[in-house]
Amino acid sequence: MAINFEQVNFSYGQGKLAQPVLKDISASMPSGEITAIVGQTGSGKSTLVQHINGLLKPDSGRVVINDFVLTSQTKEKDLVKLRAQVGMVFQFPENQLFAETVLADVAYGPVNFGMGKEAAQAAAKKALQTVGIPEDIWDKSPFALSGGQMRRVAIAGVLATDPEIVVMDEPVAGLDPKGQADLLNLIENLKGQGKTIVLITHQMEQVAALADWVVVLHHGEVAAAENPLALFNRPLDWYQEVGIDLPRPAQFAEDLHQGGWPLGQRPLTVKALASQINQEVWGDE
Amino acid sequence: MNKIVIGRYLPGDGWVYRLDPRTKILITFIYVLALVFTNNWVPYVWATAFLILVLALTKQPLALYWSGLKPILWLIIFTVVLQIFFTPGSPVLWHWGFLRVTTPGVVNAVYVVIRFVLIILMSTVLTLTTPPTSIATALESLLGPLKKVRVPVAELALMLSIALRFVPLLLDETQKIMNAQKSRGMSFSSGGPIKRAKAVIPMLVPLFVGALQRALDLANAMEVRGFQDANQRTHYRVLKYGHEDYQAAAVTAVFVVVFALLVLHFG
Repeated sequence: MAINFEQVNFSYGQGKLAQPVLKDISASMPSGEITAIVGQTGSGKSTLVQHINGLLKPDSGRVVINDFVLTSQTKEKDLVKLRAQVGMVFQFPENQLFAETVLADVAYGPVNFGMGKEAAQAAAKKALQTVGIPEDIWDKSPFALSGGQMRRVAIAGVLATDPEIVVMDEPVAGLDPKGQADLLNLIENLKGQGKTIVLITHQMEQVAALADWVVVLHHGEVAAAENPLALFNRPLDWYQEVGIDLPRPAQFAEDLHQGGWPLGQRPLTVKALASQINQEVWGDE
Repeated sequence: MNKIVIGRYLPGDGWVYRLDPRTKILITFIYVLALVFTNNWVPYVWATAFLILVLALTKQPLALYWSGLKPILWLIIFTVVLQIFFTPGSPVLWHWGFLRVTTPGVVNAVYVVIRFVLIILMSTVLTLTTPPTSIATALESLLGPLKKVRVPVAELALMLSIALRFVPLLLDETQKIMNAQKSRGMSFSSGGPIKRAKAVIPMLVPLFVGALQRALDLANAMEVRGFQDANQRTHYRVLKYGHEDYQAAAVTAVFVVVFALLVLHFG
């Protein structure tokens, strides 16, 4: 297991003003796979993932990330080791751009983690190619780019350090359909390179299409941790309770079911839905 | 960051919360002004009693005010040291070189501490029980007469409330950018002073870019909704004195009269 939360508790603030956000969280995110974190706004998703690179430390319990153990006692200077292994793409990561050129911005992380100038440049170029930023804008100011390009440059800035684990907090929010598709493709490619991906998302179609494993948070507790097929075949009122939707193909099948056309297991993708309908209409081929 | 009590608004339902912000500003002003006029313990006891009444009426725990005083403890100690060692007069209790401790020095130091604590606590009550935007509106109303001499009070108040509105946003933004750059290996705690100073750039540039962008967005949002002139505007929250304000005025009047008599009698 790449990432293991063991009875993690966390509150913002102290004493009387303390607001518990994570309550006794135990969950795993398997190595080399894509784990989706879902749940309503305020369920603790962002707080949870900020434990993966030690931006937040648990009040009690521990988080094991590969061979790094994070507890309330972990010292600030040890966290650099952890952060070199974990890339963190925040919501709207384009807000973190600062350097004079695209290339310099992307090379910022590698330099911080101790790479020489040459090596950092090479890593930055490789990352820019990975996210599909054409070479002729590498020397431009990052603030002169379009929104979608800025997003990709920011993501390159995280990937340039070649982290084993990549955490992304709603990476496609605000992108156009093409941008979204490109980014989801990139995530699959990263998985293909053997990286462990943790993805916060509100779009269940993405969960169904991409994720190998899903952790559902509800009011700071783990409501479910299972594969997408199991997750989207729960009784209907459960989704209402934790505040998530079914992916559209599954919802379509559910609507058919309620109209008197039971299809068996709810499908996760349009393809699976189509083949189930085919089977129902034409029988086995 | 969330330990600071001075200057922070904390929602509550105490009696003080129901007062008009103008009342609170005026009472705080009068109180602070009154304290300047005395150097005797009797009026101070009376002023302390008044403060305790006010604190009780906020219905906030006393521990909160205590934690609010802690950050300025060093300032108080510093002032006390200055007062004790550098006040001339007699009798001299102790001296070493140019340092000497005199009886008036010690007495002064005690009064300075009391005055300091009372003023800080009273102002804390004002900011703790009044949302910043209400303070801005109240200032606009109180400074209203200055409009006659062409002081752009309404614009100033608007600027003040916009600035106040941006404070939590910018704090939030700072935290986010800091997290993002920390994740990319930024460290404030290693390297020499130049390296550390340089580490601030990746924080400041995005912060300024974001703040400017927000300011432009806000200006646009105001313009498309027809904003032209702050003077002609009415307010969403209309300030109105209620019966609590008259009660507060009465209590304060009693305080001031007794305080004045005590000052006249004891000095």
